[in-house]
Amino acid sequence: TPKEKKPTQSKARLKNVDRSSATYHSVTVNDMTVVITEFKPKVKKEKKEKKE
Amino acid sequence: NDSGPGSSATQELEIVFKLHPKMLENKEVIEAIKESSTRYIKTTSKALVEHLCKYLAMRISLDFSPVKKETHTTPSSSSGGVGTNSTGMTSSVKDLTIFISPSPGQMVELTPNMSLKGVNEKYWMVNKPMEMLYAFHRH
Repeated sequence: TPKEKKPTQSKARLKNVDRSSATYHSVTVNDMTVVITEFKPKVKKEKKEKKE
Repeated sequence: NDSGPGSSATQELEIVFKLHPKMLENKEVIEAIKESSTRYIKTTSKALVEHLCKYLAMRISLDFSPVKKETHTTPSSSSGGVGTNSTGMTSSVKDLTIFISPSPGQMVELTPNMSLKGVNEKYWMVNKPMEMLYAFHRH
């Protein structure tokens, strides 16, 4: 029997971010505090330049 | 599993913040925040637009400060962080406004007391991270 494909989790997930280096900040407005997680973009691997 | 479709439970939303096009004319701003002008954040759908305004104002003001302080908190020190600084809004950034673009060419200014859940349901019907724009003035 064909395997059912699992639906992609969290459809609205950011791509190309480094989740391992997330920073967390709490912000309070009118006695309501929320935590905001900030991600850095993934660093693109630089291609090695040929030395002449 | 309580996070199925239609669940009214609090969910987390991921958002990309980009600099408003009108800010691109301000070279001083571009110079100061060029590398961090696009920000990627995640927070609860219960958060208000005002939470985001306050957070962005604080983070951006750090970019403008003469001595850049690395205030990043590690996941292990999640309590606290710059957000707990109640003087955050007295930074060099003022009148930070957030916009959303529900469709190409359309830009809507978000009111501070609106929740992200409300924003998501009203303006962002697609299954991808919300994209918002921000603009501000400096003291």
